[in-house]
Amino acid sequence: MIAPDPLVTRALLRRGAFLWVGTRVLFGFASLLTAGVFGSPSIGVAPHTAIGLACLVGVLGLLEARRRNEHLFLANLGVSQWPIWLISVLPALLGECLIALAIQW
Amino acid sequence: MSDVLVVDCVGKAYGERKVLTAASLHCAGGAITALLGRNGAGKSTLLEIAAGWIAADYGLIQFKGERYPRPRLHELATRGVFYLPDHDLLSNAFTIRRHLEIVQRRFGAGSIDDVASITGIANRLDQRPRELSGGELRRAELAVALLRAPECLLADEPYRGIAPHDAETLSHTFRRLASAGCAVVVTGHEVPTLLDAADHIVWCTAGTTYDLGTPADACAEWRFQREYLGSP
Repeated sequence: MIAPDPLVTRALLRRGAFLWVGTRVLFGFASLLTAGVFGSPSIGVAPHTAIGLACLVGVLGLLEARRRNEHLFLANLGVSQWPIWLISVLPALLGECLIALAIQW
Repeated sequence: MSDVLVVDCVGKAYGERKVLTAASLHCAGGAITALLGRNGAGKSTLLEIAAGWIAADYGLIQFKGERYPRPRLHELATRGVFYLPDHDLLSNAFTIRRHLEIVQRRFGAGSIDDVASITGIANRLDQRPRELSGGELRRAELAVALLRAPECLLADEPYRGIAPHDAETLSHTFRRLASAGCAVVVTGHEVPTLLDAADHIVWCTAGTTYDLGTPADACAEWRFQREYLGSP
């Protein structure tokens, strides 16, 4: 698996971070709206939900790369779609880990 | 001239609609092949299949002697294929210079200033793709291909919406690549420009392809004249 250029990697990481924040905000709103059904909302989520959110951010990162035509340019450089997904997921995983640690403390 | 890329008897259907039934393409190193055909004849589909961008329903693809049952562009690209789609190769997230630097770092060849000068985009290097005109953007995309120095360039409608002067630059760039041994395949409807630029003509019609030989041979082919060129 060939990794993208550092310049592209930085752009994907930055975008992944923004997408994670956006996804988290939307998730927070959804938790508030469904508080009556699922109980009071909290910043911390179950591990499988955190992983699910990170995977969702990865898919959104991939779709955004497609929207920006980066997937074709990267494919011409020998980079498949997996690294794009993986790099987009990293900020979300890091963020979820930090939240989990902060809640434990 | 040996065939760098061979697409043999491929078929592709979108739902009920069969776009290609038995299309073939032989791309020889050092030659420019023009793939001509009416709108909807399947030229772009054939090129996308050849590049590994979409999968064929059946058929064989061979690149540099190796068979690929299910080719992917990122695999073929590492071996020397470059696919230039009919629009939007470059990302607005980066300037043209950044794109070229990324290609240069990846493949470690060529000079950015040289390719920018050849393609006439030296004064546009620090702009983003959205800030360029159609012709400039096409030349910028070609600069990326030129810097990559591929062994096989598949260019889908590179002359579309391009001014004559820009078309001339594009043709010179294709010829420069072919001179270096690259197998160049171009599609389009700009018949005089393509006949002038190409060494070889392939006609795509009714889901299949016909190898018509040189442009002169193609122009002498009565069925090609009647059904595509429309001349008496």
